[in-house]
Amino acid sequence: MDDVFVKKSDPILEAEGLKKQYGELVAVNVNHLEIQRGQVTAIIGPNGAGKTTFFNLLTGFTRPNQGSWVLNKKSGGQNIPTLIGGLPTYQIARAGMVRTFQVTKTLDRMTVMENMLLSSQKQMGEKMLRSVWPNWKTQQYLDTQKAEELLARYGLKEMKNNYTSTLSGGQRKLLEISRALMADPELLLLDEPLAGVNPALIEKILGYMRDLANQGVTIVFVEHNMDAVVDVSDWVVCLAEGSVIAEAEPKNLINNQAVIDAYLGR
Amino acid sequence: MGVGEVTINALQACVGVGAIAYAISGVGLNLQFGFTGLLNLGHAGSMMMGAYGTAIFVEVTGFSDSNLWVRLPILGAGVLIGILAADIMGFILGLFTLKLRHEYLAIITIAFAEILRRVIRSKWGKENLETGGANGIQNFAEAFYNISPIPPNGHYGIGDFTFTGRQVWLFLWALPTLILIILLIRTLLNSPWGRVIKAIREDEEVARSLGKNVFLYKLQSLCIGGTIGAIAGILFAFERQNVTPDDFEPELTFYVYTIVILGGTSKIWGSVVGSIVFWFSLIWLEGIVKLAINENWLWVASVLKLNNAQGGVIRFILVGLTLILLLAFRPEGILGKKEGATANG
Ligand SMILES: Nc1ncnc2c1ncn2[C@@H]1O[C@H](COP(=O)(O)OP(=O)(O)OP(=O)(O)O)[C@@H](O)[C@H]1O
Ligand SMILES: [Mg+2]
Repeated sequence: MDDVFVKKSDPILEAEGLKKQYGELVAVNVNHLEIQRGQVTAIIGPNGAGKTTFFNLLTGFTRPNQGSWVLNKKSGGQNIPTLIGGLPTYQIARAGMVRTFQVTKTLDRMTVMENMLLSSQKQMGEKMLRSVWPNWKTQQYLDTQKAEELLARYGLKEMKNNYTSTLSGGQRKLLEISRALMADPELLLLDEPLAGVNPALIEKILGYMRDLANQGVTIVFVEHNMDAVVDVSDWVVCLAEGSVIAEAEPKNLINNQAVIDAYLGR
Repeated sequence: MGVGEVTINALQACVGVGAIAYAISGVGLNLQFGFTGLLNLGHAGSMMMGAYGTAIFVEVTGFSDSNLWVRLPILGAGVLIGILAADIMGFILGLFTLKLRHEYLAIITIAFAEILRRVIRSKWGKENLETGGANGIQNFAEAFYNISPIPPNGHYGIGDFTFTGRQVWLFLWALPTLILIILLIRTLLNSPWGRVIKAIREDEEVARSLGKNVFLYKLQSLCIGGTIGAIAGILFAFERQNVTPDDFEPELTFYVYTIVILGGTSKIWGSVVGSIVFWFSLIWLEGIVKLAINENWLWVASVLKLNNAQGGVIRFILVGLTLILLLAFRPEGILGKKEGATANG
């Protein structure tokens, strides 16, 4: 396969020789991939191409057979450490890379608001010894305000005191996105955020994604809805059988023969 | 003995120190099982560590000293050591098992607790750890009863419903202990710490993806639950003034599970209700089955040929049956709400 790697001017994330095998099956085999800071990057590719597995590798849910990745190598004095793939999941999240799941994961016996508050990265009351003394309530108050704003934006404010088991599939998807945002991620990984969401809301979510990018949040998302991908992304990466077969701006990528053959099928 | 007397016995048991100790033990287990989602089947081991830690320390240090003011601080230190021993056990066990899947945690905890019990029971334990072997250790808590202001041989209560002075003295310590523990655990569970704990029960991958150190939280839950189990074990041992390895067989863990599930896992004080119901049923059934055999009700003695020893086993069969029926028809417990059980302590 040709080396389709494109160097970025200010990468927030660099993956190097990342490989994951399940027995004989090579699920992911990414030679080089850079994600540009502050942009919306889409990852497309046929079912089973390894998109979700790639996210799992980045977030520490799955360990690679070989390879590594670095977050924020050129973070330019920001207080985010340089990371090498291999850290525990929770430390990766704390370093600013937060993900959502393709199969939505809400915490069913907790309310929408509890789901949101859980995502706060500033709550010292989560430490066992500090939790006994109620001065965590100040932070909780601030977090609640922030959560309400986010929930309002995603049309979930009325449900803040409902158990998430009562939400519809689309609402869960939205809750998961708002919950990830509650963590103030620098790099947000969304695994099929638009699946099962109605058209009007898709427009809205795409709008928010652009807003976030303008505020400096880097977004990488996996999506099969090509109209949305072309609409919102600055850059598109196409995976097939675990490898990057093309990466380009959306306009150019949809005319790439390899992408058409492997995925678009026109 | 008639039905009235059997009922009074059962009522006494369900508000006694034994029931309080089981309720405390249930609170510890419910933190692990109901709130964190850890299937710990070695809870009896924590209780045993508490009881034996105390008893062994008292025995090897100041057991025979005649001066109360030597024996009392030693007993106090023994209690702390018992709790610490259970903590260390929980910590070590957690280090090795918490990264494993549920089933493995269950298997390893039950095996570990049972191995410890066998060591304590063994000749080796008796000779090297002063465990007293199968006979255990007796009268180690005498200093506690010596400082009681309540005349030990008096009877306190109404009619047949009476307790001895010793029972009342221990009760006066046990009840505040139970209340304090419940308040403390409620505070923890209603805090952000508790929110993370519940999130781990619901889906630990979410907690990890949001930056929570799941392993640490599980370890903390295991240790706090173990500490509470140890306190329960110590109370239990104080009540009987006697610890033997056979008090801490794996069944004990399952009785505590019965209590937790009876009371409902969604409320931390559910264990109190669970313990009262458990003890009442157990003692009442024991009495009734005995009565039925002695008086040949429904021809149980003549046709079914049940004797008293077999009768003693029947109550446990009935307890097991109750547990199965509960899990089948009311898994949220007596107190739990049916839909979307509240996750608050
Ligand atoms: N835990 C696993 N064990 C074995 N095989 C796996 C595992 N996880 C993923 N795979 C395999 O790896 C390949 C890539 O799967 P992955 O879920 O990453 O695909 P995907 O690109 O996200 O597909 P989709 O668009 O359908 O979500 C598939 O062939 C899948 O069967
Ligand atoms: Mg996928």
